[in-house]
Amino acid sequence: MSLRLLLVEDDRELRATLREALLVEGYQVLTAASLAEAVAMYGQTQLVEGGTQGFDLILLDLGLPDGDGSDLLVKLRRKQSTPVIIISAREAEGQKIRMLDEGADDYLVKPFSIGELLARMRVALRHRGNQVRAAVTRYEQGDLMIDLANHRVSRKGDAVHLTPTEFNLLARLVRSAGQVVTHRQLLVDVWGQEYLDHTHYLRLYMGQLRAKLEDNPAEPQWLLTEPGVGYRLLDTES
Amino acid sequence: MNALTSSQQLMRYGIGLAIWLLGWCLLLFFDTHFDPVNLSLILVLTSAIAALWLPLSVTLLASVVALFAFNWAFVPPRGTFTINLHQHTVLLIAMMLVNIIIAGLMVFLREQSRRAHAYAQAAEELRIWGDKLRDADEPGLLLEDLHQALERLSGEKVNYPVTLVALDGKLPTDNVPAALRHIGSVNPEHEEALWHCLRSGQALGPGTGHYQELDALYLPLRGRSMTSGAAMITGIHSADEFSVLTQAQALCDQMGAALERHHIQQRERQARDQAQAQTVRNTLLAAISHDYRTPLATIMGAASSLDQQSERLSDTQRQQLARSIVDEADRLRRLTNNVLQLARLDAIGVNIQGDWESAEEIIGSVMRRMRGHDPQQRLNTKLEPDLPLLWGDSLLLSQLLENLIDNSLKYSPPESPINVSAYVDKLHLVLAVRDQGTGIAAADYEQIFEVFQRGDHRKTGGAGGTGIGLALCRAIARAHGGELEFHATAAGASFECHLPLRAQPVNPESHL
Repeated sequence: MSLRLLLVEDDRELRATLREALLVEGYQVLTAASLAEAVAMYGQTQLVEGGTQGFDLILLDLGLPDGDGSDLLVKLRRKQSTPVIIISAREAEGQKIRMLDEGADDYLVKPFSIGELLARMRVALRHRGNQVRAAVTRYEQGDLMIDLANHRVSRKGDAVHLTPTEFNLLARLVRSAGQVVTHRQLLVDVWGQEYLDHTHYLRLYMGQLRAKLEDNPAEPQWLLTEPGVGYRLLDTES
Repeated sequence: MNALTSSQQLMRYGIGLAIWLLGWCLLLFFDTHFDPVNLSLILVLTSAIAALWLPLSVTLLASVVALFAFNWAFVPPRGTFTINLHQHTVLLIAMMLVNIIIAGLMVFLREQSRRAHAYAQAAEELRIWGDKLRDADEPGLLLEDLHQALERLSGEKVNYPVTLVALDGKLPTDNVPAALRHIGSVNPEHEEALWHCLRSGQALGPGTGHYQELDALYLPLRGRSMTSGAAMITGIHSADEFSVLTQAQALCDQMGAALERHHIQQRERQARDQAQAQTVRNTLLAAISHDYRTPLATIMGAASSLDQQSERLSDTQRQQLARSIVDEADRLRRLTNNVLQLARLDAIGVNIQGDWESAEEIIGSVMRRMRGHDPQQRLNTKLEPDLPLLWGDSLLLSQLLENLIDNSLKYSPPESPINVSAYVDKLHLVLAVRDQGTGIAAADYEQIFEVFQRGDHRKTGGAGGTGIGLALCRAIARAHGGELEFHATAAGASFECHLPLRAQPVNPESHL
């Protein structure tokens, strides 16, 4: 059975283009052009299909004619963990970070390529329903192997020694492999609420991790920086 | 010009009485040698000299007493108030009149000189105050000084001297306290009077002819065409209230004039800045729309070809056209980013939202994006180990580096290497991009910046996109308190962004 997507985008051209491209990839695509329409469609699927099988993923534009897409995100997040990818023309990082912290799975700034969108969608779908399923505990990319359950990290077959803080930071990124994790999420999850404004901890420990895990820390392959937003552990399966 | 203090007054009495005493000693000494007519002259002299120090009433009283005493002691028959000779009567009367006239003249003279002195002092005070106001960049900051001057004028330390000034040169429609600046504290009654004084531009209070019953003086700070503020002073009760009032008002008016002048200058400067900003904006818009045309033309050409000639094109041709659309769209995206960041920087000015950032991460994220435009692997990175953290806006700094790399890719010989490096140079962290080209000619480089500074868009010429990109780089470097430097050598060109280092944050290891 093909996956069901809800595409909320008010621009007709972009909506049509994205819809075609996603249909080609084999997704079942429903579209909405306004916030009201999106809410109605979302409610309908819930009624018809008994509330358990709604959409598998939602692509949400923020600047809609009848309101802000973020309202829908908040509404959605109260009930369900359907993955949401924000697509927006706004490049204000403040907005980006807020949406991610409010539970959006990813954020794409227009313009973006179809390839980029599909990759992000694959990551989001893989992480779908993390609450019920076992979380990602193993990460293997290239010559890098991270096994969270057994606290083992190796590179080119050799074991890499990490300090507890380094390991916790890496583990947090592995659990969201392929997805951007904001500074805030990392600081709260690894150090605690009171370290919210200690971004320099992240700079320091990420630097140490890159030095231990990357061939060339100045051009990291796996531990990627999203300037002004956070970090992303690359996931090439996506 | 104030009432004399009591100790000064006491001294004056002392001197006057001492002179009288001395006079009498002389009289007694010369008693047997001179006749009464000559002696009387000593008395006249004594009276005149003593009048220099004693007030009029005392001088007159002393003269009359001295006259009777002289009559009693020196005019025959001695020991009585009777006068034998008629000529002595004339002498005594003449002496008394002369004494009175001299005393009057002396006191008048003294008063005159005191006034002249006071006026000179007041004029000097006004002059100094005027100079001070003229030299001040911000006369509004001299309110404290005005206070002190008014306080000196009222002659006593007053509890709540208050000045309030409409700082932006415009009076608000309502009496909102926030629009004004107070020094000292006021009760609502005072505040109401200050507002009235400010709005009417009239002095209020005793001696002003308006609201005489008020317990304090309220003086407007008047300029030529507007009242910029009002001051309240208490404690003026001395005899010459009028002249104190005039002086206080003069001080206040000077302040008012200075404030008005300042507001006018400020408005002129704002208007000039606005005009300048408008020109720069127009230049930018012209350059931006010029830069958008080239990629748009390619996209339009390729897309319309796909649309209209599709069936006559080979698969390879179609793919090439699609590829060029993607590439040019990406160029437009980067151009748009530059314009957006330029606008953003314009809006936030030098107050960037900084955070601790790592040069390694900034270079890493930019390299990842730029590798796509570097199929020949021309880019190399070289970072000093253990670089200190930077304080800045990572998005802006990434944009800066991206523009510099993009510029090198475009303007250096194909297949020649480009080095991206980061190192510490004294108190700066340097992000450098070096290539083997001539970059753009150094003269062009300076010109590009000047174009955007002066807003002369006739000179933009072909500089185009590079210009906007580099102008943005420089603006970003400066917003971070740094500078963008360009060096051209025989070996190649290098763009260096020097960013000042800050004291590093505390290492977490020390308290974890």
